[in-house]
Amino acid sequence: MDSLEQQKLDLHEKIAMLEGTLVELKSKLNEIEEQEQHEAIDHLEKYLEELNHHYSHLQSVGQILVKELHKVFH
Amino acid sequence: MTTDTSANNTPNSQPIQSNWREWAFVAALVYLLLVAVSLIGGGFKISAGERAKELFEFASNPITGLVIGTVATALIQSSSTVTSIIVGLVAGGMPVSIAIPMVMGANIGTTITNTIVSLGHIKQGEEFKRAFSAATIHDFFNLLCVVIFLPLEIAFGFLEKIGAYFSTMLVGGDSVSMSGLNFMKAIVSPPVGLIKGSILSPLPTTASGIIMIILGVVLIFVSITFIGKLLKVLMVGKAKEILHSAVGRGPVAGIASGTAMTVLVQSSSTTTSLIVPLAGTGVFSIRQVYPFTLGANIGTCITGLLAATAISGPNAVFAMEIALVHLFYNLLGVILIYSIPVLRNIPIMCANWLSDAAVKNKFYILLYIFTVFMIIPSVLVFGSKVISA
Repeated sequence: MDSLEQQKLDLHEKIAMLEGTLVELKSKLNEIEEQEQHEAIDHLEKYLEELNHHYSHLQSVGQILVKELHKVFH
Repeated sequence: MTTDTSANNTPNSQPIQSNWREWAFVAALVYLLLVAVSLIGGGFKISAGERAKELFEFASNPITGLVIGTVATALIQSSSTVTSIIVGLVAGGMPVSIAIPMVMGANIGTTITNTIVSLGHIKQGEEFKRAFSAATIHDFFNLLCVVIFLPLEIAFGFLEKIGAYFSTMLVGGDSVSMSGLNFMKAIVSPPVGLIKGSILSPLPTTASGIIMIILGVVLIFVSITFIGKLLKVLMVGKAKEILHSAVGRGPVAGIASGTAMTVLVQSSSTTTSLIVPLAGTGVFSIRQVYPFTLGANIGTCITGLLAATAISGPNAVFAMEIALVHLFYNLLGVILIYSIPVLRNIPIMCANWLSDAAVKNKFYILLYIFTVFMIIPSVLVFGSKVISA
Protein backbone atom coordinates (compact mmCIF):
# COMPACT_ATOMS: atom_id res chain seq x y z
CA MET A 1 0.00 0.00 0.00
CA ASP A 2 2.85 2.31 0.99
CA SER A 3 4.69 1.63 -2.25
CA LEU A 4 1.56 2.45 -4.27
CA GLU A 5 1.21 5.68 -2.35
CA GLN A 6 4.88 6.46 -3.06
CA GLN A 7 4.40 5.66 -6.76
CA LYS A 8 1.46 8.06 -6.90
CA LEU A 9 3.48 10.78 -5.20
CA ASP A 10 6.37 10.25 -7.62
CA LEU A 11 4.02 10.45 -10.60
CA HIS A 12 2.38 13.61 -9.26
CA GLU A 13 5.84 15.13 -8.83
CA LYS A 14 6.87 14.13 -12.36
CA ILE A 15 3.62 15.50 -13.82
CA ALA A 16 4.11 18.82 -11.97
CA MET A 17 7.68 18.99 -13.23
CA LEU A 18 6.65 18.19 -16.81
CA GLU A 19 3.80 20.70 -16.66
CA GLY A 20 6.26 23.33 -15.44
CA THR A 21 8.61 22.50 -18.32
CA LEU A 22 5.68 22.64 -20.76
CA VAL A 23 4.68 26.10 -19.55
CA GLU A 24 8.29 27.23 -19.86
CA LEU A 25 8.62 25.82 -23.39
CA LYS A 26 5.31 27.37 -24.46
CA SER A 27 6.46 30.72 -23.13
CA LYS A 28 9.77 30.40 -25.02
CA LEU A 29 7.89 29.46 -28.21
CA ASN A 30 5.62 32.49 -27.74
CA GLU A 31 8.64 34.74 -27.35
CA ILE A 32 10.20 33.41 -30.57
CA GLU A 33 6.91 33.72 -32.46
CA GLU A 34 6.42 37.27 -31.24
CA GLN A 35 10.00 38.11 -32.23
CA GLU A 36 9.25 36.77 -35.72
CA GLN A 37 6.08 38.86 -35.85
CA HIS A 38 7.95 42.03 -34.89
CA GLU A 39 10.52 41.31 -37.60
CA ALA A 40 7.77 40.79 -40.19
CA ILE A 41 6.12 44.07 -39.17
CA ASP A 42 9.44 45.84 -39.73
CA HIS A 43 9.11 44.93 -43.43
CA LEU A 44 5.73 46.63 -43.78
CA GLU A 45 6.96 48.98 -46.53
CA LYS A 46 7.71 45.96 -48.72
CA TYR A 47 4.17 44.64 -48.28
CA LEU A 48 2.70 48.10 -48.91
CA GLU A 49 4.67 48.30 -52.16
CA GLU A 50 3.24 44.93 -53.21
CA LEU A 51 -0.29 46.29 -52.84
CA ASN A 52 0.38 48.70 -55.69
CA HIS A 53 0.81 45.77 -58.09
CA HIS A 54 -2.17 43.66 -57.14
CA TYR A 55 -3.71 43.80 -60.61
CA SER A 56 -0.67 42.02 -62.04
CA HIS A 57 -1.62 39.08 -59.79
CA LEU A 58 -4.75 38.61 -61.87
CA GLN A 59 -2.57 38.08 -64.96
CA SER A 60 -0.57 35.28 -63.34
CA VAL A 61 -3.79 33.71 -62.03
CA GLY A 62 -5.16 33.78 -65.57
CA GLN A 63 -2.04 32.03 -66.88
CA ILE A 64 -2.26 29.34 -64.17
CA LEU A 65 -5.95 28.77 -64.89
CA VAL A 66 -5.23 28.39 -68.62
CA LYS A 67 -2.49 25.83 -67.83
CA GLU A 68 -4.85 23.87 -65.59
CA LEU A 69 -7.49 23.99 -68.29
CA HIS A 70 -4.97 22.51 -70.75
CA LYS A 71 -4.22 19.70 -68.28
CA VAL A 72 -7.93 18.89 -68.01
CA PHE A 73 -8.46 18.63 -71.77
CA HIS A 74 -5.16 17.00 -72.82
CA MET B 1 5.13 43.85 -24.94
CA THR B 2 8.01 45.93 -26.13
CA THR B 3 7.40 48.44 -28.87
CA ASP B 4 10.01 48.70 -31.59
CA THR B 5 10.82 52.36 -31.87
CA SER B 6 13.17 51.86 -34.79
CA ALA B 7 10.15 52.44 -36.99
CA ASN B 8 10.33 56.09 -36.00
CA ASN B 9 13.66 56.43 -37.78
CA THR B 10 12.34 55.56 -41.21
CA PRO B 11 12.09 58.40 -43.70
CA ASN B 12 8.35 57.86 -44.00
CA SER B 13 7.70 58.57 -40.34
CA GLN B 14 9.44 61.91 -40.15
CA PRO B 15 7.79 64.55 -38.01
CA ILE B 16 4.86 66.40 -39.48
CA GLN B 17 6.97 69.58 -39.95
CA SER B 18 9.27 67.87 -42.49
CA ASN B 19 6.29 66.44 -44.44
CA TRP B 20 4.23 69.59 -44.31
CA ARG B 21 3.65 69.66 -48.08
CA GLU B 22 2.16 66.15 -48.02
CA TRP B 23 0.05 66.97 -44.96
CA ALA B 24 -1.17 70.19 -46.57
CA PHE B 25 -2.13 68.12 -49.62
CA VAL B 26 -4.00 65.63 -47.40
CA ALA B 27 -5.87 68.53 -45.75
CA ALA B 28 -6.75 69.93 -49.19
CA LEU B 29 -7.99 66.51 -50.33
CA VAL B 30 -10.15 66.12 -47.21
CA TYR B 31 -11.62 69.54 -47.98
CA LEU B 32 -12.21 68.40 -51.58
CA LEU B 33 -13.99 65.29 -50.24
CA LEU B 34 -16.30 67.43 -48.11
CA VAL B 35 -17.05 69.71 -51.06
CA ALA B 36 -17.70 66.69 -53.28
CA VAL B 37 -20.20 65.15 -50.84
CA SER B 38 -21.93 68.50 -50.56
CA LEU B 39 -22.02 68.74 -54.38
CA ILE B 40 -23.84 65.39 -54.67
CA GLY B 41 -26.39 66.40 -52.04
CA GLY B 42 -26.90 69.81 -53.64
CA GLY B 43 -27.07 68.34 -57.15
CA PHE B 44 -29.83 65.94 -56.19
CA LYS B 45 -31.81 68.67 -54.47
CA ILE B 46 -31.62 70.81 -57.61
CA SER B 47 -32.32 68.12 -60.19
CA ALA B 48 -34.78 65.90 -58.34
CA GLY B 49 -36.24 68.18 -55.67
CA GLU B 50 -39.17 66.49 -53.97
CA ARG B 51 -39.04 63.65 -56.50
CA ALA B 52 -35.78 62.27 -55.02
CA LYS B 53 -37.65 59.49 -53.22
CA GLU B 54 -39.35 58.38 -56.43
CA LEU B 55 -36.00 58.45 -58.19
CA PHE B 56 -34.60 55.85 -55.80
CA GLU B 57 -37.72 53.68 -55.91
CA PHE B 58 -35.84 51.17 -58.10
CA ALA B 59 -33.61 50.36 -55.10
CA SER B 60 -36.41 50.13 -52.56
CA ASN B 61 -36.03 46.36 -52.57
CA PRO B 62 -33.32 45.74 -49.89
CA ILE B 63 -31.73 42.97 -51.96
CA THR B 64 -31.33 45.35 -54.90
CA GLY B 65 -29.73 47.90 -52.56
CA LEU B 66 -27.39 45.26 -51.17
CA VAL B 67 -26.33 44.18 -54.66
CA ILE B 68 -25.80 47.79 -55.80
CA GLY B 69 -23.53 48.40 -52.78
CA THR B 70 -21.61 45.14 -53.35
CA VAL B 71 -21.06 45.52 -57.09
CA ALA B 72 -20.26 49.26 -56.95
CA THR B 73 -17.66 48.71 -54.22
CA ALA B 74 -16.15 45.67 -55.93
CA LEU B 75 -15.75 47.70 -59.13
CA ILE B 76 -14.34 50.83 -57.46
CA GLN B 77 -12.49 48.76 -54.83
CA SER B 78 -13.11 51.33 -52.11
CA SER B 79 -15.88 51.10 -49.54
CA SER B 80 -14.96 54.59 -48.29
CA THR B 81 -15.75 56.05 -51.73
CA VAL B 82 -19.07 54.21 -51.97
CA THR B 83 -20.18 55.09 -48.42
CA SER B 84 -19.25 58.74 -49.01
CA ILE B 85 -21.33 58.74 -52.21
CA ILE B 86 -24.20 57.11 -50.29
CA VAL B 87 -23.95 59.85 -47.64
CA GLY B 88 -24.17 62.42 -50.45
CA LEU B 89 -27.18 60.64 -51.98
CA VAL B 90 -28.96 60.58 -48.60
CA ALA B 91 -28.23 64.29 -48.26
CA GLY B 92 -29.87 64.69 -51.67
CA GLY B 93 -33.05 62.92 -50.60
CA MET B 94 -32.45 59.16 -50.87
CA PRO B 95 -34.32 57.53 -47.97
CA VAL B 96 -32.07 56.08 -45.24
CA SER B 97 -33.97 52.77 -45.40
CA ILE B 98 -32.82 52.35 -49.03
CA ALA B 99 -29.24 53.34 -48.17
CA ILE B 100 -28.82 50.82 -45.32
CA PRO B 101 -28.60 47.67 -47.50
CA MET B 102 -26.22 49.60 -49.78
CA VAL B 103 -23.71 50.22 -46.97
CA MET B 104 -24.03 46.54 -46.00
CA GLY B 105 -23.22 45.67 -49.61
CA ALA B 106 -20.22 48.02 -49.55
CA ASN B 107 -18.79 45.88 -46.74
CA ILE B 108 -19.02 42.79 -48.95
CA GLY B 109 -17.70 44.50 -52.08
CA THR B 110 -14.57 45.81 -50.39
CA THR B 111 -13.39 42.28 -49.61
CA ILE B 112 -12.48 41.60 -53.24
CA THR B 113 -9.29 43.71 -52.97
CA ASN B 114 -7.51 41.56 -50.39
CA THR B 115 -8.69 38.41 -52.19
CA ILE B 116 -6.93 39.69 -55.34
CA VAL B 117 -3.84 40.51 -53.24
CA SER B 118 -3.79 36.94 -51.90
CA LEU B 119 -3.70 35.63 -55.48
CA GLY B 120 -0.16 37.01 -55.69
CA HIS B 121 0.89 33.95 -53.65
CA ILE B 122 -0.85 31.48 -55.96
CA LYS B 123 2.36 29.77 -57.07
CA GLN B 124 3.40 28.94 -53.48
CA GLY B 125 1.20 26.10 -52.21
CA GLU B 126 1.17 26.43 -48.39
CA GLU B 127 1.86 30.16 -48.48
CA PHE B 128 -1.07 30.68 -50.85
CA LYS B 129 -3.32 28.58 -48.63
CA ARG B 130 -2.55 30.75 -45.60
CA ALA B 131 -2.78 34.04 -47.56
CA PHE B 132 -6.05 33.07 -49.25
CA SER B 133 -7.69 32.00 -45.99
CA ALA B 134 -6.50 35.25 -44.30
CA ALA B 135 -8.13 37.19 -47.16
CA THR B 136 -11.40 35.26 -47.37
CA ILE B 137 -12.01 35.23 -43.60
CA HIS B 138 -12.95 38.91 -44.05
CA ASP B 139 -15.34 37.96 -46.89
CA PHE B 140 -17.08 35.28 -44.85
CA PHE B 141 -17.34 37.53 -41.80
CA ASN B 142 -19.02 40.27 -43.85
CA LEU B 143 -21.33 37.77 -45.57
CA LEU B 144 -22.33 36.34 -42.17
CA CYS B 145 -22.96 39.87 -40.90
CA VAL B 146 -25.37 40.52 -43.77
CA VAL B 147 -27.09 37.15 -43.31
CA ILE B 148 -27.74 38.03 -39.64
CA PHE B 149 -28.41 41.76 -39.77
CA LEU B 150 -30.23 42.34 -43.09
CA PRO B 151 -33.30 40.21 -42.20
CA LEU B 152 -33.36 41.81 -38.72
CA GLU B 153 -33.18 45.27 -40.28
CA ILE B 154 -35.96 44.46 -42.76
CA ALA B 155 -38.13 43.12 -39.93
CA PHE B 156 -37.47 45.67 -37.19
CA GLY B 157 -35.50 48.57 -38.70
CA PHE B 158 -33.36 48.61 -35.56
CA LEU B 159 -30.23 50.07 -37.21
CA GLU B 160 -32.27 52.90 -38.69
CA LYS B 161 -33.76 53.62 -35.26
CA ILE B 162 -30.35 53.59 -33.51
CA GLY B 163 -28.87 55.81 -36.25
CA ALA B 164 -31.83 58.23 -36.07
CA TYR B 165 -31.56 58.48 -32.28
CA PHE B 166 -27.86 59.31 -32.24
CA SER B 167 -27.88 61.55 -35.32
CA THR B 168 -30.67 63.64 -33.79
CA MET B 169 -28.51 63.95 -30.68
CA LEU B 170 -25.43 64.95 -32.69
CA VAL B 171 -26.84 67.09 -35.51
CA GLY B 172 -30.23 68.05 -34.14
CA GLY B 173 -33.67 67.35 -35.55
CA ASP B 174 -36.13 69.82 -37.02
CA SER B 175 -36.81 71.40 -33.66
CA VAL B 176 -33.21 71.62 -32.45
CA SER B 177 -31.36 72.66 -35.57
CA MET B 178 -27.71 73.62 -35.17
CA SER B 179 -27.41 74.90 -38.73
CA GLY B 180 -26.75 78.40 -37.46
CA LEU B 181 -23.60 77.19 -35.75
CA ASN B 182 -22.47 74.94 -38.60
CA PHE B 183 -18.75 75.51 -39.11
CA MET B 184 -18.56 72.99 -41.96
CA LYS B 185 -21.30 74.79 -43.87
CA ALA B 186 -19.25 77.99 -43.70
CA ILE B 187 -16.16 76.37 -45.23
CA VAL B 188 -17.87 74.04 -47.73
CA SER B 189 -20.55 76.39 -49.07
CA PRO B 190 -18.35 78.90 -51.02
CA PRO B 191 -17.01 76.46 -53.67
CA VAL B 192 -20.39 74.69 -53.94
CA GLY B 193 -22.09 78.07 -54.34
CA LEU B 194 -19.52 79.12 -56.94
CA ILE B 195 -20.11 75.98 -59.02
CA LYS B 196 -23.89 76.16 -58.64
CA GLY B 197 -24.38 79.91 -58.92
CA SER B 198 -21.71 80.95 -61.42
CA ILE B 199 -20.14 78.14 -63.42
CA LEU B 200 -23.33 76.14 -64.02
CA SER B 201 -25.80 79.04 -63.95
CA PRO B 202 -26.27 79.25 -67.78
CA LEU B 203 -27.45 75.61 -67.84
CA PRO B 204 -31.00 74.43 -67.13
CA THR B 205 -31.61 73.44 -63.47
CA THR B 206 -31.82 69.69 -64.07
CA ALA B 207 -28.67 69.62 -66.20
CA SER B 208 -26.66 71.63 -63.68
CA GLY B 209 -27.87 69.30 -60.91
CA ILE B 210 -26.76 66.24 -62.86
CA ILE B 211 -23.36 67.81 -63.59
CA MET B 212 -22.94 68.58 -59.87
CA ILE B 213 -23.70 64.93 -59.01
CA ILE B 214 -21.24 63.57 -61.58
CA LEU B 215 -18.58 66.06 -60.49
CA GLY B 216 -19.17 65.10 -56.85
CA VAL B 217 -18.78 61.38 -57.56
CA VAL B 218 -15.58 61.95 -59.56
CA LEU B 219 -14.13 64.24 -56.87
CA ILE B 220 -14.93 61.75 -54.09
CA PHE B 221 -13.18 59.00 -56.05
CA VAL B 222 -10.14 61.19 -56.78
CA SER B 223 -9.84 62.62 -53.25
CA ILE B 224 -10.19 59.27 -51.45
CA THR B 225 -7.76 57.57 -53.86
CA PHE B 226 -5.09 60.22 -53.31
CA ILE B 227 -5.73 60.50 -49.55
CA GLY B 228 -5.18 56.73 -49.35
CA LYS B 229 -1.99 56.87 -51.43
CA LEU B 230 -0.52 59.75 -49.40
CA LEU B 231 -1.48 58.39 -45.99
CA LYS B 232 -0.04 54.99 -46.87
CA VAL B 233 3.36 56.66 -47.21
CA LEU B 234 2.97 59.17 -44.39
CA MET B 235 1.56 56.75 -41.87
CA VAL B 236 3.67 53.66 -42.43
CA GLY B 237 5.82 54.40 -39.36
CA LYS B 238 2.78 54.92 -37.15
CA ALA B 239 1.14 51.79 -38.60
CA LYS B 240 4.23 49.78 -37.65
CA GLU B 241 4.07 51.14 -34.10
CA ILE B 242 0.41 50.17 -33.85
CA LEU B 243 1.09 46.66 -35.14
CA HIS B 244 4.10 46.20 -32.86
CA SER B 245 2.06 47.24 -29.85
CA ALA B 246 -0.68 44.71 -30.68
CA VAL B 247 1.64 41.69 -30.90
CA GLY B 248 0.92 39.15 -28.15
CA ARG B 249 -1.90 41.19 -26.65
CA GLY B 250 -4.94 39.17 -27.74
CA PRO B 251 -7.99 39.80 -29.94
CA VAL B 252 -9.23 43.04 -28.38
CA ALA B 253 -5.87 44.69 -29.06
CA GLY B 254 -6.03 43.20 -32.58
CA ILE B 255 -9.45 44.78 -33.21
CA ALA B 256 -8.28 48.11 -31.73
CA SER B 257 -5.10 48.16 -33.83
CA GLY B 258 -7.04 47.23 -37.00
CA THR B 259 -9.42 50.10 -36.29
CA ALA B 260 -6.62 52.59 -35.54
CA MET B 261 -4.63 51.62 -38.61
CA THR B 262 -7.66 51.94 -40.91
CA VAL B 263 -8.44 55.37 -39.48
CA LEU B 264 -4.83 56.39 -40.16
CA VAL B 265 -4.69 55.15 -43.76
CA GLN B 266 -8.40 55.83 -44.48
CA SER B 267 -8.79 52.52 -46.26
CA SER B 268 -10.00 49.16 -44.98
CA SER B 269 -8.70 47.54 -48.18
CA THR B 270 -5.16 48.64 -47.34
CA THR B 271 -5.42 47.28 -43.80
CA THR B 272 -6.96 43.95 -44.77
CA SER B 273 -4.58 43.57 -47.73
CA LEU B 274 -1.52 44.20 -45.56
CA ILE B 275 -2.28 41.26 -43.32
CA VAL B 276 -2.46 38.90 -46.32
CA PRO B 277 1.33 38.66 -46.89
CA LEU B 278 1.90 38.67 -43.11
CA ALA B 279 -0.35 35.63 -42.80
CA GLY B 280 1.08 34.11 -45.98
CA THR B 281 4.56 33.87 -44.47
CA GLY B 282 3.07 31.86 -41.60
CA VAL B 283 4.35 34.31 -39.00
CA PHE B 284 0.78 35.31 -38.11
CA SER B 285 -1.90 32.64 -37.80
CA ILE B 286 -5.37 33.05 -39.29
CA ARG B 287 -6.81 33.39 -35.76
CA GLN B 288 -4.35 36.20 -35.03
CA VAL B 289 -5.17 38.22 -38.16
CA TYR B 290 -8.94 37.68 -37.84
CA PRO B 291 -9.54 40.40 -35.15
CA PHE B 292 -7.37 42.80 -37.12
CA THR B 293 -9.65 42.53 -40.19
CA LEU B 294 -12.67 43.18 -37.96
CA GLY B 295 -11.05 46.36 -36.72
CA ALA B 296 -10.70 47.45 -40.35
CA ASN B 297 -14.49 47.21 -40.70
CA ILE B 298 -14.94 49.63 -37.80
CA GLY B 299 -12.14 52.01 -38.80
CA THR B 300 -13.45 52.50 -42.33
CA CYS B 301 -16.61 54.17 -40.96
CA ILE B 302 -14.60 57.31 -40.20
CA THR B 303 -14.73 58.44 -43.85
CA GLY B 304 -18.54 58.28 -43.96
CA LEU B 305 -18.76 60.21 -40.69
CA LEU B 306 -16.35 62.80 -42.02
CA ALA B 307 -18.38 63.08 -45.24
CA ALA B 308 -21.59 63.54 -43.23
CA THR B 309 -20.18 66.59 -41.46
CA ALA B 310 -20.11 68.38 -44.83
CA ILE B 311 -23.90 68.32 -45.10
CA SER B 312 -25.98 71.15 -43.74
CA GLY B 313 -29.67 71.93 -43.83
CA PRO B 314 -32.65 69.69 -43.10
CA ASN B 315 -31.06 66.57 -44.62
CA ALA B 316 -27.89 66.82 -42.49
CA VAL B 317 -29.51 64.68 -39.84
CA PHE B 318 -30.19 61.89 -42.40
CA ALA B 319 -26.64 62.07 -43.79
CA MET B 320 -25.27 61.67 -40.27
CA GLU B 321 -27.84 58.92 -39.64
CA ILE B 322 -26.57 56.71 -42.50
CA ALA B 323 -22.94 57.30 -41.47
CA LEU B 324 -23.83 56.26 -37.91
CA VAL B 325 -25.81 53.25 -39.18
CA HIS B 326 -22.64 52.11 -40.96
CA LEU B 327 -20.66 52.49 -37.73
CA PHE B 328 -23.22 50.72 -35.53
CA TYR B 329 -23.70 47.94 -38.07
CA ASN B 330 -19.98 47.20 -38.04
CA LEU B 331 -19.65 47.58 -34.26
CA LEU B 332 -22.61 45.30 -33.54
CA GLY B 333 -21.39 42.79 -36.12
CA VAL B 334 -18.00 42.54 -34.42
CA ILE B 335 -19.50 42.38 -30.92
CA LEU B 336 -22.13 39.78 -31.81
CA ILE B 337 -20.16 37.49 -34.09
CA TYR B 338 -16.82 37.64 -32.32
CA SER B 339 -18.23 37.22 -28.82
CA ILE B 340 -20.22 34.07 -29.65
CA PRO B 341 -17.75 31.21 -30.26
CA VAL B 342 -20.06 29.30 -32.63
CA LEU B 343 -20.53 32.37 -34.83
CA ARG B 344 -16.88 33.42 -34.47
CA ASN B 345 -15.66 30.10 -35.85
CA ILE B 346 -17.90 30.10 -38.95
CA PRO B 347 -15.70 32.51 -41.01
CA ILE B 348 -12.55 30.63 -39.90
CA MET B 349 -14.01 27.26 -40.93
CA CYS B 350 -15.30 28.59 -44.27
CA ALA B 351 -12.01 30.33 -45.08
CA ASN B 352 -9.99 27.22 -44.22
CA TRP B 353 -12.29 24.97 -46.24
CA LEU B 354 -12.18 27.27 -49.27
CA SER B 355 -8.40 27.67 -49.16
CA ASP B 356 -7.95 23.88 -48.89
CA ALA B 357 -10.16 23.46 -51.95
CA ALA B 358 -8.41 26.31 -53.83
CA VAL B 359 -4.98 24.72 -53.29
CA LYS B 360 -6.25 21.42 -54.72
CA ASN B 361 -8.01 23.01 -57.68
CA LYS B 362 -7.46 26.63 -58.71
CA PHE B 363 -10.88 26.76 -60.41
CA TYR B 364 -12.44 27.09 -56.96
CA ILE B 365 -10.94 30.60 -56.78
CA LEU B 366 -12.68 31.62 -59.97
CA LEU B 367 -15.87 29.87 -58.91
CA TYR B 368 -15.80 31.62 -55.53
CA ILE B 369 -15.25 35.13 -56.97
CA PHE B 370 -17.92 34.64 -59.65
CA THR B 371 -20.36 33.15 -57.12
CA VAL B 372 -20.01 35.86 -54.46
CA PHE B 373 -19.71 38.90 -56.70
CA MET B 374 -21.77 37.92 -59.74
CA ILE B 375 -23.94 34.80 -59.50
CA ILE B 376 -25.39 35.34 -56.00
CA PRO B 377 -26.16 39.05 -56.64
CA SER B 378 -27.86 38.20 -59.96
CA VAL B 379 -29.88 35.34 -58.46
CA LEU B 380 -30.89 37.48 -55.47
CA VAL B 381 -32.04 40.40 -57.61
CA PHE B 382 -33.90 38.15 -60.04
CA GLY B 383 -35.40 36.06 -57.22
CA SER B 384 -36.54 39.06 -55.21
CA LYS B 385 -38.14 40.62 -58.30
CA VAL B 386 -40.00 37.38 -59.05
CA ILE B 387 -41.22 37.17 -55.43
CA SER B 388 -42.32 40.80 -55.29
CA ALA B 389 -44.06 40.44 -58.67
